[in-house]
Amino acid sequence: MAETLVFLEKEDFLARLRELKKDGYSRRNLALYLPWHLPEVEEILEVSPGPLRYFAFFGGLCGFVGGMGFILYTVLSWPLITGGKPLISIPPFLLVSYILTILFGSLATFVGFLFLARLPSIQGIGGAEEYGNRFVIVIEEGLRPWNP
Amino acid sequence: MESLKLRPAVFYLLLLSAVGGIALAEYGGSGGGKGSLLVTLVFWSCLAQGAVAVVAITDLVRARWVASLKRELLSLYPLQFLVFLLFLLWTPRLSLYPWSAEPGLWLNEPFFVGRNLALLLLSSLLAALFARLSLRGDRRANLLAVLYLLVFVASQSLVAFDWVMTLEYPWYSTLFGAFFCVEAIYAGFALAGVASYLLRRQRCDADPETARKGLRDVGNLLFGFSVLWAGLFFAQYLLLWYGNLPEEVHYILRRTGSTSALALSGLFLAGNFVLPFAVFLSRKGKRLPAVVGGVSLVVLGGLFVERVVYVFPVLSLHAGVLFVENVLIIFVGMAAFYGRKTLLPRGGEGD
Repeated sequence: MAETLVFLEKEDFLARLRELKKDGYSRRNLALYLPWHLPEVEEILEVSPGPLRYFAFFGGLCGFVGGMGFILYTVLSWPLITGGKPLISIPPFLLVSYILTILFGSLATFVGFLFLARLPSIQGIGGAEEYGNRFVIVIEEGLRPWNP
Repeated sequence: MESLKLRPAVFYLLLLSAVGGIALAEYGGSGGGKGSLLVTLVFWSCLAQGAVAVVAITDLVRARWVASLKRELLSLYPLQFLVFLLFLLWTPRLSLYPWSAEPGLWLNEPFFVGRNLALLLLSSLLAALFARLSLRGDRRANLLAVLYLLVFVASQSLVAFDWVMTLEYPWYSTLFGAFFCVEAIYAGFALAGVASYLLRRQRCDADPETARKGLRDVGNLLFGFSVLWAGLFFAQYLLLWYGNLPEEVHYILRRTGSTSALALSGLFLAGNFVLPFAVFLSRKGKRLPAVVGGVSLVVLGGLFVERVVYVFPVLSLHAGVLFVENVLIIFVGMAAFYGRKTLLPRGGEGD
């Protein structure tokens, strides 16, 4: 059976969490419900950062390469010489590539977040229990994967 | 070497000797390299004002990472007084500026010297006062931080517009002043990075957790400022590029026209943007004091090379004179840094 501990104060909650960690509990058998994100929790439970950052990185990279490729393709397939400048001029190309880096990076991060949090699935939204502004530790008996 | 017992009188004697040495190197030497002092001046005004500006900003926003580096950054405030004296040394050379032949309302020698000396003096006085009050934990430090930042922005803008931009008179770029202010703050964060490395043992013994977080914060700030720097640099470059006006473009052409100029320009782009951006993108890069300190030194080097690129197409430089001048100032800076226990007031915070 799961045991539920409810705290009103952040410090009490963190102190109890440190004790539990010392007693050998880990991410595998603790479920936490927090009113807001606490970076201390990740440090106590030694959580490594999730794969979300790779979504951001590769999204941004695709945006940059795609932006460059798209401009090069359009410029070479429909040459418009203006102001005597060379067709392939890096400075203005950088602007569009940079903006597409941000756009694709942020979209990929958002999609990655939905994918990792399994948000669109109703079952994945989490427990029906509502704890408001309290800090809750649920100690599970069995093993369950825990994602902060 | 952990600390140095220096009496203020001895330190200021050292500072004045360094100024004397610089005067000797500049005026008593080979006669070549009339721009060396200007490069030194612009670079050290950026560092000295930036270090105090970073503390003023972080004090106002109540940033916690700076607490353990506050004394170290503030210990460099006497360098502003040194910059003031060096500007006095620079005044006989004002005839090198193209506008000196036809002085105008804004660009004439008496007004040029007057406004710059006044701002440099005001800036160094406010920095000294702010350092004292801030280290004592005095409540009036916030007011002084605001005043100092106002003078800092005016002073660095004039460094950009008056000292550097008028070398290329009548070329102008309206972003130049803001660009210099951002660079000075960037230099301040780079100095914080260097100080983090120098104090790594001391800080780790005191509180490893705070030291780790502080190092990460400095790395993040350097990363952010490298992107901001690149954005401002690019904004300025792009406007000149697509405007393609002869009177504007010659400025860039003179700085990219030869192989050596192009190499120098590439060097400061790599040092100010490419390297800090690439290194601090990873979390591991922000964990090691040696990496943060090393990249900070590269950033400072990049800022120095950038100042060389501003000056060398117009005025000749002498490598030996540049070296002697900067080594002397680094020596004074080190003395201020290691003598901070006796030169700065004892305070509640940051001790």
